[in-house]
Amino acid sequence: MGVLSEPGVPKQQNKKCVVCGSYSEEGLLCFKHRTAAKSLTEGYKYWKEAFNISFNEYLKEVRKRPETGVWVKEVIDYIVASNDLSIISE
Amino acid sequence: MSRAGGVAWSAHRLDAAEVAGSNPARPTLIIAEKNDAAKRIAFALDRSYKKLALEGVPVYVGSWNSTKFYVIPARGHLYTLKTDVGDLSLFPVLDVEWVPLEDDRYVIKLLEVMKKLLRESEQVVIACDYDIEGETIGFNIVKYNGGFEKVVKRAKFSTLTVEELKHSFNSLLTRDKWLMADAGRTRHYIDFMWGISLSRLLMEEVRRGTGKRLSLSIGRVQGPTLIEIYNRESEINSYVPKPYWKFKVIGEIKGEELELSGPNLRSLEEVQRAKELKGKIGKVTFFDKSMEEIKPPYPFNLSDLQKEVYRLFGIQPWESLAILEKLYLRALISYPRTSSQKLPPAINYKSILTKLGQRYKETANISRSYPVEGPMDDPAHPAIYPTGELQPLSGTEFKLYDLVARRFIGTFYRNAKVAKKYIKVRADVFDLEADGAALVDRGWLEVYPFKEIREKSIPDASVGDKVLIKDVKVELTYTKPPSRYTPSSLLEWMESNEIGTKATRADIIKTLYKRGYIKGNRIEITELGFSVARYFSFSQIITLEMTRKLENSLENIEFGKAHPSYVLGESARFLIEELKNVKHSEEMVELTRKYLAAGTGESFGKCPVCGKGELILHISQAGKRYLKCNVCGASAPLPRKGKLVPAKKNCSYCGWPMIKRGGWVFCPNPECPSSKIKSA
Repeated sequence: MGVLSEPGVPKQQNKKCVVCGSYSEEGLLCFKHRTAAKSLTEGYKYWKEAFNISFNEYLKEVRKRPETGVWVKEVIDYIVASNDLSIISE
Repeated sequence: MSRAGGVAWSAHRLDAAEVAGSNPARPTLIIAEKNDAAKRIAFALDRSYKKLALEGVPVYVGSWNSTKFYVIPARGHLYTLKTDVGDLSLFPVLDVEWVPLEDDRYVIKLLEVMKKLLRESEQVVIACDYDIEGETIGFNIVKYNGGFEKVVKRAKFSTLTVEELKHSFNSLLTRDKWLMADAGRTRHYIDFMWGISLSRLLMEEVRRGTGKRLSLSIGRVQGPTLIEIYNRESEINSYVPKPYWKFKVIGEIKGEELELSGPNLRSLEEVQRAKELKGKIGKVTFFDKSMEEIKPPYPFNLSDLQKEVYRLFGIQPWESLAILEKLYLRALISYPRTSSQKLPPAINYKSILTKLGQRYKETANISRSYPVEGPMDDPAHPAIYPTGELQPLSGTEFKLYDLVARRFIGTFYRNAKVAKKYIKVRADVFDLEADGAALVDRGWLEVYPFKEIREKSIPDASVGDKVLIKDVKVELTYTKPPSRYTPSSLLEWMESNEIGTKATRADIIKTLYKRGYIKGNRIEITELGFSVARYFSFSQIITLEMTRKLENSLENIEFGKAHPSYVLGESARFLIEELKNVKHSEEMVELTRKYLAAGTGESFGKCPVCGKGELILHISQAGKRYLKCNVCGASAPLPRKGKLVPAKKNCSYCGWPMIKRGGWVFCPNPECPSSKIKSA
């Protein structure tokens, strides 16, 4: 019989996802938006091959598609609003 | 083992002749799993059996082979696991024991009656369902009531027909080892220890982060299942569609038109080149004609049947199991909890088909002496089949019975025949192709018309024939995210990943719904479910691999390849090791906070104020519980403690949905006239 003896990790300040404000275990994004940003980065090559479009045009087109996941849309909304592409290279 | 609140035995209620018996031999006690099964067993053994009510417990008395018997029905499990470790912050919990279901007064009475009859009997026959759970039910009753001092035998049957029951009682099994009970009891131990330990870990993590004692739970098999749903949800929510163009051409060959499919196009350049095909000539590079024979589908095992029922009628797996059990208890079909796709000759095909012929004229057209069978086997039971007994049925019971009967008859039918054609054409840089299919003999589809064969006509051709490309169609399309799981496809996932058992998988999915972790027919994970799954996914405690390993060990017990104590020890070591490696998750705590703020998502019924919204259970920052309508905001306070469940009826005074806490049913509306009547 044991007791969970380690005290809980104290809440770390300033570890907030820049997209939704939730706690993030690492970096600028929480788990959800980190996964979405990775998909977004990976998806560009297919759209570039298909339409030869810029990254900004790509974001606009993907945002319109109903198949696009909600977390991806939230990442796009953040990028468009903040003009901050740094989270894509996270 | 002590039993609080036991009833006094009223021996005088038994007819003296019934107890002592007019037979010289002492009676046999037969333990059935349910009342309907008990009645059928008694009827099969002695058509003039009598029903007694001992302390309100039904007992069926008769005589079989000149020996008196009592058949007493259990009510599923009468024993459960319990721990004395009450402090919720203590885990892992490894110290557990079997105890009677003490909260249930009927069970206490039932056990008293069983104990008394056991004392009087010469031998005991466990006639519960012949599977792990059934044997565990019977074994526990015998073990904890001194039954193993008697001769204990096992009845094995797959249908409740008179013929099979008689045969079963004429060839009762004797046992040195109760391997199925060992496997079942070990599974219960392991599930209990893992369930309670992981749930306490989860609650403790939330309590330390939020200061609240939230009642959360997770199980050894539920965990990986929930994580799989969470993974699917994550894939859907982080999905980026990829563009492509579907490419088809209308060609003409020897004056006949046909539609050919080209490869998916990935760029505008490819689209342009495809469009330029119009008016050009292609050449046939391959043509083939063949006759495909499609064998009848395999006899149903439980999973296949649950999937088929969901596909055809949208009935959830746990609902279909409940209906199948009813059909089994009415002796209309064989035991449904089986993995087998085989039908042994011992079931007497001819006799069943002859009886079915009264309802299904198609039996006249069967062409096989032996049924088509699948590869899966089950040592305990054959595939699900109709017994041949016919009773009036309606609604979903009829639908499921009909499906089982038709599938059974279909396995004796000739193959369906489909004439197939395949053509391949080269045009510029593109390979184009078309398939043709024509059903020439419906075969088994005559009796089992639930499969669709798509027919398509294409002309005959020869290699080298010219094909004029008359038109080109390209359509911009986008890839789609993976589909959400349905209860049926989730069941299939569990089966292919070998977690849970055929008997438990549907209930595990149902439990995830009940706990508010998932919702909808196209399964979505709730905020709470997401937090819990995220936590366990992050902390890597309950992995699919670990769960599968334990499943294999449990299976080894059933086949005598592993000892229960070894498997229990292995499981406890796993659990201790895993808990040592727990990673704390601030993210999970935050998600739980959000969940608490948003309400638990658990609906207690329609809002009677606006008639549109649902009354959702909320927990305030101070830990108070209340209902709040998600449309109009109408609210009502609730008791702070105790498990609350919808009572599934509305207050006759004010129309609010009633709520149940333990044995107390109340109206939550603070303005309800009923509360004023009471206080007056």
